[in-house]
Amino acid sequence: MLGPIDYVVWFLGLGLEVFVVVYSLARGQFLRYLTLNLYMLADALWTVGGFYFVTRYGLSSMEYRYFYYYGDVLLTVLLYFSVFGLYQHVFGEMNANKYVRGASLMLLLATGCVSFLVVRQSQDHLTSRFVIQLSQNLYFVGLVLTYILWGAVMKLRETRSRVIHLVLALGIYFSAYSATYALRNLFPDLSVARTILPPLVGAWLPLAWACTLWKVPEEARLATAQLAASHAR
Amino acid sequence: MIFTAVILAISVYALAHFFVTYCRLQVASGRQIELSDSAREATGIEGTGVSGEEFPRLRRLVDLCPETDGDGFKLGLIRAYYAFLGAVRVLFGPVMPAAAAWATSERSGCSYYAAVALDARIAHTRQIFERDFLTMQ
Repeated sequence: MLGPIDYVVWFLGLGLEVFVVVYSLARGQFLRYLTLNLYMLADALWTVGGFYFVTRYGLSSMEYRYFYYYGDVLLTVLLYFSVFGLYQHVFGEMNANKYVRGASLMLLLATGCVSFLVVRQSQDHLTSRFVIQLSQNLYFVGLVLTYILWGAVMKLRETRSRVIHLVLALGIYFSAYSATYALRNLFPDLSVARTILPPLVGAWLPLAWACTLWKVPEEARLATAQLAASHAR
Repeated sequence: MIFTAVILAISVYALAHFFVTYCRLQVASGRQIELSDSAREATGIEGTGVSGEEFPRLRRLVDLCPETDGDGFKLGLIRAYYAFLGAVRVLFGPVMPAAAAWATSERSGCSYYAAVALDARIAHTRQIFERDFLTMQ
């Protein structure tokens, strides 16, 4: 049974996802951050779909569970493209876009192959434990990709404040989700990892991205050396 | 099981790293902004340095002013960061003096960030007052 707070977090997330897309369209930045916007659009549709399944079949129904977990897996793969979109922003000035595109295509194929093999091997027991493990691994791959991207941001001394904000928000999102799913895997009875953390972490990314697009101007610059130096202190 | 535990450990480490860096970014952005005279007068801050211990007082002053341009999200984040730094200081301070010194410096940045937010809110409140009340007279 969903409580009022669940609905507030749910609709807050939906509102922020729509805000990101509409704001980007209004500012003529939709294509500039195409992969991010497509992810937000897909996430908003998934949220609406989730609401439909909950009201029609109920929160504990198999229909909702399948929709939630397998939709989440597809969204995570879509989010990889957002990561590669940010890679293109970071490596854009080095004319390395074709390598980034190649790498993203290879990752997609590899993810597809591994997922296919895993699902084929486990098709007789496609349990919720299995999808939790799959999600945990996918989020962890996303975390590794974002960590490498953050390394590139620091190494290349990226100064665009907006890009830095977007990457860090993504890093928090991937690591929080990866930790949440790992907790659920290790302690299946831990209710906080099942009920409280997922919606909060889910609302983080649209909130942080909306805030970044709204408050951080495209031309804002910040020396990453400042962050690196303070870390070393 | 071991694989999952390793993933959990790495994820928690990465989460702490990204969270600290994200908050540091906000604090660093705040440090680039000069405080106005009215904010200095309201807070009693002199010079550029603000003690980390001032943060709760500044937060209370910020809460007295109406929210400006949705700054509540970032202030909430800085509040969480401040609490995190407090925990770092308590947990690692006795064994790692460098960590305690770093946490103290960062807490000072949090205070400055709160002062900057207060400054923005004072300016915004003044604008509202001038627009809505003074024009009525």
